[in-house]
Amino acid sequence: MAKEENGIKYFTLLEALRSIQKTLLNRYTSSFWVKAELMKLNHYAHSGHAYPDLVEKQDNKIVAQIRALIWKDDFDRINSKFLSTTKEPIKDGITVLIYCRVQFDALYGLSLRIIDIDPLFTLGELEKERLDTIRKIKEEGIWDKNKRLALPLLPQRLAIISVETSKGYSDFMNIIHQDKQPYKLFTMLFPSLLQGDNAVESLLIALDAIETVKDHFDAVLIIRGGGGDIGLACYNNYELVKRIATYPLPILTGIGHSTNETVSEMVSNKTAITPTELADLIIKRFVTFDQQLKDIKQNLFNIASRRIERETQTLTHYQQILQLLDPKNLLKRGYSISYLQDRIITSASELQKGDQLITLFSDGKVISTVNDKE
Amino acid sequence: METKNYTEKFEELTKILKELERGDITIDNMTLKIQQALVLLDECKESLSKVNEDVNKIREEINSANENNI
Repeated sequence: MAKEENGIKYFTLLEALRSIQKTLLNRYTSSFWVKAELMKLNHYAHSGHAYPDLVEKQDNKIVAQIRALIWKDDFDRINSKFLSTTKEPIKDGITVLIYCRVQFDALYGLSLRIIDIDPLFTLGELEKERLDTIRKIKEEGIWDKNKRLALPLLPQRLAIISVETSKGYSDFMNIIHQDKQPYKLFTMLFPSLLQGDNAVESLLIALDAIETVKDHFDAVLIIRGGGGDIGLACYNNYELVKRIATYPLPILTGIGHSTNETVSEMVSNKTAITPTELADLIIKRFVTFDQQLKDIKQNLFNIASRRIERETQTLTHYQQILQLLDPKNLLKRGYSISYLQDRIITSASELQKGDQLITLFSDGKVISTVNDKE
Repeated sequence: METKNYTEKFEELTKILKELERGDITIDNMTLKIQQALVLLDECKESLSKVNEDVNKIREEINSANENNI
């Protein structure tokens, strides 16, 4: 009821707002779907409720904004549905399709109560971001850039981006530094978040840090494991993918998951599904090289031995020929050689009656005269 | 003769053998050539056995070095 004072009719604030509330709620009686960006989720772990800021942007400017709320039970249900469908929790910065109703409270004002969020829509948005990143990187002509960097034959000095306490990191280190493994590798850890919202910035900082000392390393390894396949959308982020693609050192990834390959993995120099597999990939290069050296050594001596043997055979053969050719040996076997004036006689037709012959035997020579010719 | 290497000696030896096989040299020359050839042959054999010994020595050295390393 309106009151009156000094001739002015007025309502109390509560009355006014309740009136607005009544009008609004009479007008908006049912729930409806709205597409909006979740600028800030504002989830309170203690109460379990969330108070998201919803916005719509055009050309990166906010053109609409409203507060929303998700009660704990709704939040838990929506979030678990989200995780199983999109492999991402509900988080800041994603575009969502929400099912909501208008709320107006005299104390808290206008807001949208979110009853449901469609995970399939967000999945589509995430996939869109992934495809967008692929398209942009390809358009810029840098898709293969890191792949084209030559990974040293023996990558011995490894900069590792990981979390010291993670299972993936310890799996990797166990293989690289196991006792029976004879190859000595140098590793240095550059800690970073590896999944979720803040991972992009954290990974970029780690990559910057390594770049300042890049001459001390052969490769950069991004190792994540044991975290399931939730929160990997960050590896499709354009800025991160671009940094990896254009990074001056080869980047190797082992981020351990079973779903779609991320764009970061696609553009990196080499990628393994798990940290264990990545460690094997590196050790295998050493084992292969070692074996190659052994083979070459064996081959070298085989070739040398064969060559010496062949040469010896030729010399033996020459020796036999020389023995056959040596007239001394012929003479010993009963043959003799006759000369006429320093010329060897090879045919009877060369001789005339009365010619004087010199005939060689193994033990001396005789001089004779031709008496007759047949 | 001492300054010639294996290849040169071997080539000379081959050349003499071909000349001898053609058979148009006088006996006096023949004897001389055969003597030359036999000297070359001995020197080649000696060089070859020296190379063989060296190769075996290197092989043994490398094998024992590897055993010490691993």
